Amino acid sequence: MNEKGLPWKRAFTTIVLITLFIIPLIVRDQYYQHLIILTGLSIITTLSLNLILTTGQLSIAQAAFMGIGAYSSALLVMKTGISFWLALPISGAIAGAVGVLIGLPTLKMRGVYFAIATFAFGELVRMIFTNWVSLFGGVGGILNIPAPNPIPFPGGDLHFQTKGSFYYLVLFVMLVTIYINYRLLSSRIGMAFHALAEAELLAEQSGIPVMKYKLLAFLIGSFFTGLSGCLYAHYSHYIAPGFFSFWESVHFIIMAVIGGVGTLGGPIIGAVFLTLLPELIRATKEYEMVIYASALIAVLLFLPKGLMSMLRSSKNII
Amino acid sequence: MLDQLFQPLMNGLMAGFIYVLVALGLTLVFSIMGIINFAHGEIYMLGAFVTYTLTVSYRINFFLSLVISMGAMALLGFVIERVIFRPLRGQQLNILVISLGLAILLQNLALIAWGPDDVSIPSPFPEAIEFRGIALSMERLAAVIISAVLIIGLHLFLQFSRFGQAMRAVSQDAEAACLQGIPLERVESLSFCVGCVLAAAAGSLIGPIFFVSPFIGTVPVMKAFVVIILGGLGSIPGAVLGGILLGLTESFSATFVGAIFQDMIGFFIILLVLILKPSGLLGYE
Repeated sequence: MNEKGLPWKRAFTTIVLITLFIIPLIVRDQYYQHLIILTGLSIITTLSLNLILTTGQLSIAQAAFMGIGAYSSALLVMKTGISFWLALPISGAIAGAVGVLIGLPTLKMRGVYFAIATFAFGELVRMIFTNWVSLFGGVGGILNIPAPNPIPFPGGDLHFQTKGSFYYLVLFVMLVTIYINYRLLSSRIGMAFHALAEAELLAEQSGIPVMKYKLLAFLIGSFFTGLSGCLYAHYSHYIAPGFFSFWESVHFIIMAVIGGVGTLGGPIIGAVFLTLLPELIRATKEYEMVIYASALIAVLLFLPKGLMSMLRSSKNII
Repeated sequence: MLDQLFQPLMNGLMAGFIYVLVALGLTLVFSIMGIINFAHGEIYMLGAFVTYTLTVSYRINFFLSLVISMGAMALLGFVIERVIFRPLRGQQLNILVISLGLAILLQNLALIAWGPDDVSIPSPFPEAIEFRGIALSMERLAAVIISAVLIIGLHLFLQFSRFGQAMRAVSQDAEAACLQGIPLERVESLSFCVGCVLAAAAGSLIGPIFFVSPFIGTVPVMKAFVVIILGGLGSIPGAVLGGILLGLTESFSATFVGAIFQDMIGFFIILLVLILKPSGLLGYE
């Protein structure tokens, strides 16, 4: 990133931001607005996962943390009656706290061991949602989760019932997530994260507090994943344990890896690409998932560093 | 009283032996190639479907179908290892993810080929025998016996055949084995095929007892994770012990505590073992 590239970068960012703000005005179709909101939520979750992946730990529990955020917020709003705007940060904090609790004993493990431990944790969480019927509603889940409370505003309250308005809420949380990830990944701490993945022992010898940094990545990752779960619950008004299963976690891992782990743009590209790909190949009907999986395998075989590496080799954009 | 204990014992043993067959493939591949193959359960599923098609559509004897299915999965395993896993050697994260993609691919190909409905492989032993007032299902007994024969066969193969010894050498120290002139790539390929053969056998044996559908691969592979973590990742005797322990624990807890704990108990075991003794019961660090 040289100095000359900077104005271009600034212009690029501005154009992207403006486009993001006017999207609901251009795309009026309800179904496409729905897809765009889902993409936004996927970007938040995938970026959170990316932070954990950057430290060299493969977590297969992202959907479980989404579930923790979603169920906490739904229960807080529906049972205690607090405002959505309070429940949003609290649900993120709960997911983050669970992340620390589970991270303390498991982050010492590496490679396959950590992956299997988080996998077991994720399945356990899903089974608790399923089997604790009196609190979590069992297989049927929780219905009629209210939309976020309107914000009083001079000249009329801001409502979040329509897809177009909910989009701005998702956009806001997404931009905050991107900004924090950007600052973190380009800081000294971000470099330490990379060092942990490359050579943990060497990083430790150079004075990087290994456990502290892994825990930090896991905490931030769980927090933002919890936020995206909370947003999802109040957007779809309905959650069930099946939404937060092993295969959902897999989906986020695929997004991050396809895009390119360790970069900021990679997980974003991966989330956009894999949310839109099924739409592009919908006409192929029963072959849809076959094409999806084949595309995934092809990218990994021929672009092992993800789609982002294709952009990088041509120009150092992000 | 004896009757009450005997049924869960029999069911637990049968489930346990099936877990062992699936887990052995996973743990063998891990000990030699250092990778975890999430698509292993789909090989189990495809093995069951091949046996189903051979017995139902071609009316071939169950045991012959079982052998053909095991052979077919060995061939599929050979191709998968060569085309998908070998090019990515050394990239742990990407191998995990590509195996997940492979699982989705195989599952959906099976969905196209056989449809989403549950089917059943006709039982080779439909009758039950009575032993001192205890009903004993022959097909379950046969599943246990055939599994046991395969497990002993694998043990003998690893102990005494040249390739088996080569596999053990690679799992202990791949570099040293290479220096002794052991063809690493051929050993890896063979271990992958052996894993697929065992998975195909497991799927085919469980087919007559439960049912076959494109989605049956996920649960056994999850159970197999519990088994190999419990026994020690990469340890063959550990996988046998872990599988039988898990089968019995699940079966007895389902009978005496409640069915909802049957599935949860395995994941508790994983977390406990990984936190307290990551090398498992019989593993070595």
